[in-house]
Amino acid sequence: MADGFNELIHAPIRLRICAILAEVNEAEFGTVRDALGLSDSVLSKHLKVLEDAGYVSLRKGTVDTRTRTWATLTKPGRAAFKGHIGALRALAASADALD
Amino acid sequence: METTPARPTAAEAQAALDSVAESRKTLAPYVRSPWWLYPAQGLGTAAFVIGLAFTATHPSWGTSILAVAIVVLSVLPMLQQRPGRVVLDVYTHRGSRGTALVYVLIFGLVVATALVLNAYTAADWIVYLAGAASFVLTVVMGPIMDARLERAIRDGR
Repeated sequence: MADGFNELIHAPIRLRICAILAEVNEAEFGTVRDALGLSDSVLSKHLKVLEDAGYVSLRKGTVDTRTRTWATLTKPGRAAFKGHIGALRALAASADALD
Repeated sequence: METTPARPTAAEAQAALDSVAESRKTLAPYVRSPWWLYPAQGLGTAAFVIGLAFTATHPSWGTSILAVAIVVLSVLPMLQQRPGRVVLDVYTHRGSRGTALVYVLIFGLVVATALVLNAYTAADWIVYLAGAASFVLTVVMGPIMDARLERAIRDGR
């Protein structure tokens, strides 16, 4: 396995979620859902997996009397995502080396 | 639960990288600051300059204005946390930090110039002029920073 490759993050939807969270300090649940075109249940399920792994922290807040959830990629999450992207780049580059 | 191959091929790795880039681009519509942010921040910076300069010469209200400015500038980032958008730091994001640095340097120059000139001339109008300049600078540069950030995300930089 390439260094840094992370099977948990590599799942397509989780990879896309991490891609968004890695770009921001914090993202509101609905924004991630709409940006990626996911359903509430699918996004919740994958955020839970990432949270259980310690890669994402979730925070509840109230805005206009409604409860909102905000997601943040944790420090270990950022490191794991960065390592995974590095591994993907190495794998993708291996094809060029073989050409 | 999604299932994924243990080790992707080079083509699959490239496809995954492409999906990461595409996902980042979907953020672009959500990064614009609310319309009131930079006018409010401009008022905060103007009050900061005026309060700072008048702390010595008009301590009774100069200190109060400075305190209000610090509170306003501290609270504004928190007010951005609303549904339908993301929170990111326009001052440190690679797409906008160059422009942000220019903004901060010019603001610092305005503050320093106002303090020095006011100390030598004791002319209050210099301080008010610096406050107005700070407001205009923030209202102009803020949306430029946002636009730079949005473009960088849209271009995948």
